Amino acid sequence: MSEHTADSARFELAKLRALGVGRTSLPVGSAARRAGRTVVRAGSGSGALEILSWVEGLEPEAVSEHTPSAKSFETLVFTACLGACWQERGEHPWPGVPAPEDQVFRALIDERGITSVESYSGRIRRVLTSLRETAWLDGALDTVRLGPRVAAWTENDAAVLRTVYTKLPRCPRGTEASS
Amino acid sequence: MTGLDDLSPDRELLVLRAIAALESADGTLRDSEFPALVDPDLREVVRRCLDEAGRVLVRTDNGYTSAYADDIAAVLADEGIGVLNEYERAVLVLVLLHSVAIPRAKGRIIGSGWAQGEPVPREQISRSQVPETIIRDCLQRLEKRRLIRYVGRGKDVAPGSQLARLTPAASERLWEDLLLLAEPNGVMAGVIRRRRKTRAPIAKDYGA
Repeated sequence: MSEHTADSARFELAKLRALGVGRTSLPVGSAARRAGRTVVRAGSGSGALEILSWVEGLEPEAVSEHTPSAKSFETLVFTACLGACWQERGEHPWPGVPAPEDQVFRALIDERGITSVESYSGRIRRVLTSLRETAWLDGALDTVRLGPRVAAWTENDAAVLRTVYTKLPRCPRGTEASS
Repeated sequence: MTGLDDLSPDRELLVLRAIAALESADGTLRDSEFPALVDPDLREVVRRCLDEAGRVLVRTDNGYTSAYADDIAAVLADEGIGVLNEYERAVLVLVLLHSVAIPRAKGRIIGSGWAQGEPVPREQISRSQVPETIIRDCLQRLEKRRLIRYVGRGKDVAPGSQLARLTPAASERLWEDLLLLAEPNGVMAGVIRRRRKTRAPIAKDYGA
């Protein structure tokens, strides 16, 4: 391997970390392995995105700096998105199924005991936009899809989340159809 | 040179654990909790692994953290990645001036890091030429990036944990920038300008 290629892979991995998610301009899998990391591809073809991830079983125990703060409103909104899209507990959360945004709103209303969505809608929409920008979510407005960062979760991550699967904020039973 | 592949499975595990913690922790790691940071040979492997991803191991006053290598940080900044806008920079500078630079110049803070500073009353930041609405937005964004943190029930602000992730060169550059700002015509400012003119550029071409 030439010095230039090694240096380029080094830069591509650093760029991937800085952006959170992206497309590298050269193969970086072996460089990532030497760095003690893995690169996960989400999606296929020209739309595929890459994420710098962790070796299976060696995910950080602490909250990652790329993960929204555990107490934040952003996290609450994201867990509602996860609850809406992750419908098969036995499967990996990604890609899950797309859900109408409204379903997330209803889940949050139920979670917080809010009677009117109007007072929170602007704040929720801002968070949804931010989650799309940071690749936690994917896709167009009005529909919620889990993003490439969720694809980077390992089976261990999924196993931990399965233990709280029933606690994720979800639409009250029977109201999904109206959303 | 020893790499991950040359280690026994047990020692490889120690290195990978240290890397995961270094790269994700919100703050400095105490080396005593990570055998791979205590053992000089394993620490060298950690250093090499980080380097493969454009990162470096940084020794702080109370342990270790990781940061972008100086040459990588320079290219990322050239590409506009991770760069604060001018208002965010102005507000962060105000926090660092009042929280770290002035207390350090007066001898109230020792050390060369930026993550430990004195809490600054929020109103102190408002006593500037930056409009209040912009200060509010910027502080929110800087807090999200963990470049500042609120203390004292939100009445005061202080440097955030990410400021521990500065290499010695980046830390020195920040100090020099504040000197240039505080006393642009002083003797030190002249020395800094002359030194910077003769210093080789940090960024390399990665064909990015």
